Amino acid sequence: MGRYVIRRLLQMVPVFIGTTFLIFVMVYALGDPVAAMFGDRTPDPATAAQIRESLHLNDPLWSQYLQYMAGIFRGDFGTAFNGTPVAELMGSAFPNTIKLTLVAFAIEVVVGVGLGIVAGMRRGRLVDTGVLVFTLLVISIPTFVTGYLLQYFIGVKLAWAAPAVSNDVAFGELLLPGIVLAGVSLAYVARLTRTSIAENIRSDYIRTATAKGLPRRRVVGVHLLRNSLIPVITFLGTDIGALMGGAIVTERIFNIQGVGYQLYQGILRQNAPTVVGFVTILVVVFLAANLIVDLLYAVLDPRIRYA
Amino acid sequence: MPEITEQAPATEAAAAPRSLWGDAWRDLRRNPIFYISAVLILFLVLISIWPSLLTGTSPYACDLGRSQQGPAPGHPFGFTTQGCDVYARTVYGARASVVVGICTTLLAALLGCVFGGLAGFFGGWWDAVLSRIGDIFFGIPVLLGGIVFLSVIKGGSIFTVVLLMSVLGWPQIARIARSAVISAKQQDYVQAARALGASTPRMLLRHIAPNALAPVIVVATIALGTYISLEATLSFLGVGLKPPTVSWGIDISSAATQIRNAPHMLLWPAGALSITVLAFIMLGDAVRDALNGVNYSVSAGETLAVLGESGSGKSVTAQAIMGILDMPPAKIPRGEIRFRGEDMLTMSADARRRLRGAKIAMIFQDALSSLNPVLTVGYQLGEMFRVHQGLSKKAALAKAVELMDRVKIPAARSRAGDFPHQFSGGMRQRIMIAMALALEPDLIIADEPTTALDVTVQAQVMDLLAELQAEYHMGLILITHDLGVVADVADKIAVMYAGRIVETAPVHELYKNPAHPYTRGLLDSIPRLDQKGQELYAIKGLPPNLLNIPQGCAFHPRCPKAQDLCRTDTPALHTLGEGRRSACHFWKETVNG
Repeated sequence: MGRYVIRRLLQMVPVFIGTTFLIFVMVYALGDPVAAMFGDRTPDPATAAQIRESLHLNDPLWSQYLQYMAGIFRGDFGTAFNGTPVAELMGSAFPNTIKLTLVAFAIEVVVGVGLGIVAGMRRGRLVDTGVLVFTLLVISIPTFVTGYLLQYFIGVKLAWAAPAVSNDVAFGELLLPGIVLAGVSLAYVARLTRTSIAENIRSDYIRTATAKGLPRRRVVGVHLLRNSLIPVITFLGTDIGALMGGAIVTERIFNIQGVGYQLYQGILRQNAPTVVGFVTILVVVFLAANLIVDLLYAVLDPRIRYA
Repeated sequence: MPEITEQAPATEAAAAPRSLWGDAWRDLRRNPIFYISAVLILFLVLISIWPSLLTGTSPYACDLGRSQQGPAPGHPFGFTTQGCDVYARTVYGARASVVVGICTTLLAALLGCVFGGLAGFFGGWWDAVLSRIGDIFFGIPVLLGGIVFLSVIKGGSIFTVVLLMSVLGWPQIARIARSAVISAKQQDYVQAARALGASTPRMLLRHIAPNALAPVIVVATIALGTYISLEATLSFLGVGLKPPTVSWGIDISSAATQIRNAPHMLLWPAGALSITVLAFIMLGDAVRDALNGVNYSVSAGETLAVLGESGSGKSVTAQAIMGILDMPPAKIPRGEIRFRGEDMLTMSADARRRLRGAKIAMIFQDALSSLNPVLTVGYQLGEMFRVHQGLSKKAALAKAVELMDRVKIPAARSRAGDFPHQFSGGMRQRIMIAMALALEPDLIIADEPTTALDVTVQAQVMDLLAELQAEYHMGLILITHDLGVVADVADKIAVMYAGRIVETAPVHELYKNPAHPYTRGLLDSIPRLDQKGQELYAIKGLPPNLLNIPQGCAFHPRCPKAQDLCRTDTPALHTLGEGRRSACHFWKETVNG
């Protein structure tokens, strides 16, 4: 197991370097950070040259990348457009986004897996059709549309929840944004669980478990779920990264000052350090989640060898 | 014996399988969802090409004086903040969504097939390098990557958006294409073509591509809907398409801030966008169901052919006794199952459950699939004691080890922690037997317990079973098509054909003097060592499909002695003597000759 973890960690290194380099190249090579600093004004050539020199912008690209990565490992992500260190922005933004992601993830797991189990065990019945139609609708309506509609109807018209989230970002306030963020993923989880349950419920080992005279609770709880949830867990793991990335839309709708908000500001103001910094951290989260899923997979399914 | 009616899930399974695509197309045409989505998509494509069919108003003709006004004559959806016609903008917005969705899907599928196909086909370094490159792109969540890159290159044309989304989307399709090619490559006929010296391009195009294409088409169709949704999201965030392109995402973005004053500006483009995505996702679902459904019924057909004479309802009857038939589709319309004088069909579900495993146990044919792959064998054996006798986990495990010893599994103590796939076939079947023996039941039903094993191991397992049966003094119902096995172990024999018992007899009498032509045919088809130079007999024809049992005697189409009576009247089960019964109109003639 230990060797397997180390191997997977080593395999992640080139992917991490490739991914961050790709982002770095896109942001630094295609956009002109100096021009972006001055917005619509034309900078004084001498000043611009000085700034270029101080930011090592005249060095070859790979050298710039190495300097940037070295900075990251020292905790230096550069400065945002208003002079605040990017690391400081992260310190305030990440807790909010993590809270939102946690709420959304909990909703996704509980509701998605629950609906999937109910539908999978009653395949072809009314409940099953209901779940299928519901998930189809949820997948079809883009998040930003559901976001505004729920905000308008539940937040404004019915006033059941606050339409925007306050600066404290309490968990209670995050319920509505959490539902919006979880929506599409939840539908995918429900469908995946349903298919998996419906497939496994016909398997020979479930027949054996029933023939052993086990109570239905045990047949379902121990034998069926354990096998059926393996692909679902894989999806859930890779989805954490997608949820954090998707928060950019939800945070904008509900005015949450999280990662999505800062990233959006960085993009609007063409501030490369902010964009590259935040995206790099998100990519790390995404890769880490993938690694955890792989390890979990090996633990849950003994047929996978730790090779 | 109960009478069993089985409703097979797919009647088509009996029909001759045609091509994958032909069958998929037939399935699609039966699916109402396919028609709904096809009509919607056709409509969307039409208005993307000729939006003027639906509206005479230009989406750019704006009158600031009518900003945010509601519906008016000739303007059924009202006006935007700039005073443009919402109806015209909704109609013209379809073009961007449809074009971006279709172009992105085609480009991503092309990239994915080329890279995934090369990685899967050549393997080795190609695979290592291409898969890592895919991983790098896969490491960036699509929405995030889209936002960053589009904002940097200040895109806005349909071309840039399509290019970017395809570049971010291809790894998903490449992964599917790679594994599809790998599995197609391992198919016997592809191996055969390779052995016959087919050239590489020919292999790829003629043999592999057609078989790998199905899963790629499924992912690509489903991805189409999500690409349309993604384009709208990017445009909504202000980094995707830019005005003057008419896009639902842009219009929703500018309407969203005004939702309290003029909700109509949001609802129409949002509705159109949702229905478009819905149409493509429904199409994806229908295509997936059609292509996957065919795979299922073809493999079901293959399995049936391998079983041969096994289609006579033996296993189904055994499972009915255990009460573990899938109901629905199965149902037992009449009859009774008596166990120790009590009718099991009228028992409560819980009472019946308590009998299972404890009083009546079952040994299944394929031990590998019948044992739970993710639980250790010690756990699965111990479960019997925990559930039925309430033993602790530790005590149950000790009992499990004892059982494994009993069925002669070497090093039982250390192997109890192993998983089913870590055992050999014979050892796995011993574990199944141990599980059935666990609570010393009164009756064991063994459903072809040795069919999946090789011949030498078969004999060992059968000997073990017979030995344990004598020791514990249990009843044993042995379901098999192997007459050699029967002669060794059985006392009495019941011969089944087409879901009914056609003959019962003590074993020696049956071998000596069968009273049903079917039994005689079975006996004649055993190769004999003592008679040389004769052609081996085979019963002509195939056992009937249980959904379509012939009129009269079910065996008459294959019976060498069939008369008119056999074609019209179903024979009763005549009693011939002590323990001997036969369901043949002409049993006397059969016995005598």
